[in-house]
Amino acid sequence: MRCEDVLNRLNARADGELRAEDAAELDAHLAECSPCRAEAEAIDAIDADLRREFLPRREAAVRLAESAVVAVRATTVAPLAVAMSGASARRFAWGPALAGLAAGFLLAVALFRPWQPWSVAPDSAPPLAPIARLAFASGRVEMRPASRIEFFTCPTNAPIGRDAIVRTGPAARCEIALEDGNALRLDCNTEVTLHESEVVEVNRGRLWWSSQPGLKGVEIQAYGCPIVAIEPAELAVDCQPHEARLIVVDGTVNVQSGEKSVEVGPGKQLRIVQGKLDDTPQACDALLETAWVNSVLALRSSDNPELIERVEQLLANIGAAKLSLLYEDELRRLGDAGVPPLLAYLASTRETPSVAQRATAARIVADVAESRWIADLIALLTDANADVRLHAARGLERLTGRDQGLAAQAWQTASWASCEPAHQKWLDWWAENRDHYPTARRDIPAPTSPPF
Amino acid sequence: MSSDSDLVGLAQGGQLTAYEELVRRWSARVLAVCHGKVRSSHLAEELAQESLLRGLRALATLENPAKFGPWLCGIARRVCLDWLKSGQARQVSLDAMSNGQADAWVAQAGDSPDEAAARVDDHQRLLAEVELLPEAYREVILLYYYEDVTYRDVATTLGVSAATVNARLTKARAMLRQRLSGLRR
Repeated sequence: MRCEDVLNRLNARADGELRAEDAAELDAHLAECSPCRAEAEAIDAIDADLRREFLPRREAAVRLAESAVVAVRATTVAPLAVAMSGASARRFAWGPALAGLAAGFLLAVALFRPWQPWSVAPDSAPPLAPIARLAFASGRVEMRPASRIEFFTCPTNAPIGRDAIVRTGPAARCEIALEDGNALRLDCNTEVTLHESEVVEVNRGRLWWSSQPGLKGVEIQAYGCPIVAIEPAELAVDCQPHEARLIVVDGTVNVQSGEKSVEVGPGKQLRIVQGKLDDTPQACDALLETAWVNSVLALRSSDNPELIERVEQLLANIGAAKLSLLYEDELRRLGDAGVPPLLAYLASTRETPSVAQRATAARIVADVAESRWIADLIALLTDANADVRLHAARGLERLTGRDQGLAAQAWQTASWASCEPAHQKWLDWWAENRDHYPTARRDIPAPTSPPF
Repeated sequence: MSSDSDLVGLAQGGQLTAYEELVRRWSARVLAVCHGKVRSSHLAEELAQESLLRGLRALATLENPAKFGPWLCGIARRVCLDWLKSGQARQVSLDAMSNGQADAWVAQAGDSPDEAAARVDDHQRLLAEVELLPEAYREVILLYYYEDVTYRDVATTLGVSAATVNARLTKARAMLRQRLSGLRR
């Protein structure tokens, strides 16, 4: 046996993988070759070093396994029956269970168990009761339970325990559902500590909370100052390195610092600098200051009442306030997610067609709507507001490349008699092509009398 | 002890405890696969968790229950590749610093071996050096040392022969010894 042939066999021997027939030959060579004996010792040494080095990694693997097991057990939806018709057609109906499981109870549920050494049975410690869950997020959210020193990725639907710290990354916004029914919305680069389900401390960044009927309020703390709504309120807290700001959109909120207490009303903000309150709240544009929360509301669903209300408030300020372009910018920033509230607004104001904001809403929809809103745009061609019809036609041309023989401008100036043929063509075209488009709406009612 | 095939059948029939057992059996392997791909132990844990969840979601699609382990490792590789392709791969170099992987990052930053050695202690250095190995050698070291496995186990996971595993472990250990002795001088 040559030394060059020995290396692999030495390693195999260290790993207990050397075949018996090779072992004798190797031993004979080692008896006569001191360099190979030295090599064997070096291999044994590096093997021992690696085994020692990987002990913590093995423990991490065990913890990973147990956290995954806990997550599987946390599934509350019973598995559905399996439909079997041949081995290849075997179906495993975990859909609803997995919808609840989502991206994982895997990690966050497991975090209710303190990390245990391998020798401790994982089932011996009862899990901590969660006080909140991560409802949804637009990016990476991390959590550090009270019992840990490290942050972990917090998956959607993951339970959050008492005194846990939750933080969002630079591109992530999220909603945290508290166990009592309240919801917190966090902006990017925000960190909060959930002391209790009713007590939340903002460490940095921006938080939004709005009171819900029938629910107890949440005490929000910033720089040690408790912030409590006196009456149903919508508020945001903006916590920066040297100061915090409380912005009240609606309702009245009390802020306390030692003996000093200040009430802040709607459209006002109050600064907290190093734990000390300004004497007097200042006026602010609360809607623009808290515009970041619109995208969080849109994550929940585009037709949720809170988002619709905020969209209507933004619309109402366009043309009515200084810098109204900023309000329009915020609506455009929502993109397609902002279309349902805008369409809802247009539908709700159809009986008052001359309201100025309707044209703005239609203009934004025309510019940002995706193809699933084609049917709604066709429906707007019969709106009594000429500008709404114009923008609807523009939007349809952008999305389909068609104008059905009538330029968009004509919808603003021509009579219904002139527009009706084109409208009928749109209806016919939609009936023929609607299956090619993802759509939230399929039917378009034909007007029974001239709409304009 | 039930085979993987039996457990997969039970899990597909709705028994959560069966999937739990599969998770216990394969977590270390999945973690080793992820660690080999992304070269960060902390990130590997996160991606391994995601992989185990995806395995649960996709269990209905597994047509050969006996191949659960390699199938799950395949999912783990895809999870890691997706992550590497995403924009987050660049961010991890910064995360790695805060997660205690500073030695690996520093070693890649062009420091001399002495400078890198000055920053980390021996305990961290070996794992850092493993993470710096070329992928074929890094994978085999991680798979071999994350749990008690045989050459055949590693070979099945990697899709190579046991002899190849032997050869790669031999080479990997030699590279590590050379690297560590160079740092100590």
